Amino acid sequence: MTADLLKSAAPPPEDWPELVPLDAPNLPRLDLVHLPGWAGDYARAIAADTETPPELAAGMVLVACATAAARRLRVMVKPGYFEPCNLWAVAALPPGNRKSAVQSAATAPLVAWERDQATIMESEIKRITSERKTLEARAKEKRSKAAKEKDNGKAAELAREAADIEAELPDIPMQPQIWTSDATPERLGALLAEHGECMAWLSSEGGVFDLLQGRYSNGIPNLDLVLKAHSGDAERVDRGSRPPVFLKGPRLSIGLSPQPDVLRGLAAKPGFRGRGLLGRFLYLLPPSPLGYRALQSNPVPEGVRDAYAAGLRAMLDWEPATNEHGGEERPHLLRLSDEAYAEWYAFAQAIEAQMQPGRELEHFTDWAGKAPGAAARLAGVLHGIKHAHGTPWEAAITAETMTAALEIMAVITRHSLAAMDMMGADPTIAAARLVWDWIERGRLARFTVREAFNALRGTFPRVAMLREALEALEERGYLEVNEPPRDGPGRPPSPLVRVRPEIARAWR
Amino acid sequence: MNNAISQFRDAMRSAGLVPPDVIEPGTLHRFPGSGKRPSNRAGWCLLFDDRRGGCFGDWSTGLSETWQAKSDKPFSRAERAAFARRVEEAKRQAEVERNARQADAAKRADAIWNAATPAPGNHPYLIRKRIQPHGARIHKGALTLPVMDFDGRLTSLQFLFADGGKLLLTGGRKRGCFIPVAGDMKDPARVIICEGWATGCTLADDEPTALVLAAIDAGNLEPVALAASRRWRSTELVIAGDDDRLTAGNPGATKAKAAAIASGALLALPQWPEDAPDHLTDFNDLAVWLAGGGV
Repeated sequence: MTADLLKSAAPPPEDWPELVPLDAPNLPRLDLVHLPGWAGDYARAIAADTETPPELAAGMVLVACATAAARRLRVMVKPGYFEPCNLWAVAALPPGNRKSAVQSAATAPLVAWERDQATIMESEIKRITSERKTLEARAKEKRSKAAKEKDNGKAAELAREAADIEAELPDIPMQPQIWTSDATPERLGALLAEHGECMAWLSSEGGVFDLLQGRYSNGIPNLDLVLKAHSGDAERVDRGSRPPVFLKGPRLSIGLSPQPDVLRGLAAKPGFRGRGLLGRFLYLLPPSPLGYRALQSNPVPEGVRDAYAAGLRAMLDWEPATNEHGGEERPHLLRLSDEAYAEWYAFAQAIEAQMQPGRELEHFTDWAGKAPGAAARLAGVLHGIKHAHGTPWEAAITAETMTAALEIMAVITRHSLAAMDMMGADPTIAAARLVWDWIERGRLARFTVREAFNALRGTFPRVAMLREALEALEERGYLEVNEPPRDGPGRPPSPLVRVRPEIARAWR
Repeated sequence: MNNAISQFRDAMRSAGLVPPDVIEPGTLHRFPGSGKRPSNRAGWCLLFDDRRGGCFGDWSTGLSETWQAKSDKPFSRAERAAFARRVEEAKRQAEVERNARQADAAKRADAIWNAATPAPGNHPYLIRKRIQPHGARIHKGALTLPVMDFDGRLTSLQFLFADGGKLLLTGGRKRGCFIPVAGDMKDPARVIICEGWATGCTLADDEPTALVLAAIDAGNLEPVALAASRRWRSTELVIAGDDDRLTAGNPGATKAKAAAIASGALLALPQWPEDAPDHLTDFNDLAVWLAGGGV
């Protein structure tokens, strides 16, 4: 008869370090207090209404405001150094997080502005379209007569008249467009050319990256225009059947809210990392609230919605600056106060020092090198929001505004480093992720280093490289590596790797 | 010169070893391992001829350290390389000696085991512990148990005397080795690892379908458990620990937990009824007490 002596057998209680996720390690949260006035109020209200993280609403509202600000403003950080006000932002969240609803709410005033502009221009468009059709008909008639004319001299005269009419055909004004959600880089160039060199590319998905990777151009990345449209550099654009144009200072804003999975592996896409595409984005990786929502809507108060719409509309309606002859339009210059410049300079210096070998930003110089510029742009946008109903170019950017921009940048910096990690920018973390993928696929609660080496030899030609990845996973609490004692002659047994028990139990 | 020997001794002491009384430079010395009885030879040390360095270790714990005398000037690259070579040579020499001792012990174990006779069920130790012989043999009146490695080689023997005394064959390998108590080594459904053989016999009777291994002592639970977890990947492991409730730090429970954690095993400790006396420590004690015999 047995006494069932081992009935108490159970996993031993253990003190594992807190799990630090590979993808989003303890990231600080963005405080919307740094987003001024009506923009901050609206971002808070959207987040409450949709029960989404404030970072998502903040990111989308900032890009919407940057789209408007970039049309009319640029920041002079110091003499000879200018930054446009367009921003590229990515707020990644898993599916089911109402990203589309947030984006739709943030961009609603842009849609309304486009619609109103179309209404205003409708009669003019109709008039010019009619006039053009008449002229085209006249030209056609002249050409027809020329074809039938037996006198060569008269025929030539008629043909010349037809050509003259065609040369004078008026361009039909385009319906104003300020944003798009799905355009190839080539089409984007045409859109920029046709709409004042300023556009926003907004999407709640990550298809933008597919388009940039060359979805419609045999996988050949077409990044030139997009990269230049971040910095405002001149670019030649071919417009299909129409004559090519030169963009003097294209300003493209991008606002994306893709799933985190879209970001994984982006660093390996040809050109994305090396040419600085990924380093131009400001990333936010808020935690998903799914499973913790109250599922009780708090609708956006009408006054908050109206104030946002009015604020953004006012920014879109700013008059452009013109050159001294009163002709060519150009953005107004925003200047920094001495205190604001001092704040910005201290930030730039701190970032610079962190890029030294061995420091935190060593592996992220492509992003970090652009961070001071992004901070200046952000300060320009915040300044524009504060002075939306006035003339922001008549006031200097204050230290208070710059501080708010730098507070936002401090959070964005942490999130962006995590995002770059996720995309495979840090080689150690990228390697750790590869090893973890292998462990997860096989649901391996325990394995030896040798087994891992044999399975991953193609990726890790030397055990030392594999050990480095395992150490990164150990530091983050995913697993522990136990060095077995030498029990006798011959080669020592391979170290045993044990996965965090709660993860292994969940697999079972 | 004596200063170097003194520093070398201090280094050994700080690693938890009790150095031998005499240390002759250039000679490999053997002495009791950490916490071992006087006849034990698991500790080893070698002070180099020039007395500027040396190394020492303990085969029972896996300790292996090097020592260098303090120097006024930094060592040159050549000196460092020479030191590393000498350390390697000393370790190799110590390992060769250890292997030779263990091989000799294994031969003696083989001879004793082959000459020993099956233990009768009425051996006083078996009666007192209320257990079956489970393959034990008799050598000079002592219950004799085989100590095996995971390759199936006999490495040593353990002797259990009627008065409860225990002895391991001198020089035999124990670390990472075990006494097979009962069960199928080829394809076990469950593997139970405990400290002592008597506890293993009780657990084998309690769970006849399991493979039961006795790790001999608490310090050997982890190496055996790790090796078992490598050998039987998908088999459930249970570490059945002793509960040394009256000993400071409860080494039995502490090391059983460490072994379970390291090997991913389940942990079981005796669940004492409220009226169980405090001096009971293991599953055999519990079973005997439950059976009404008292200990």
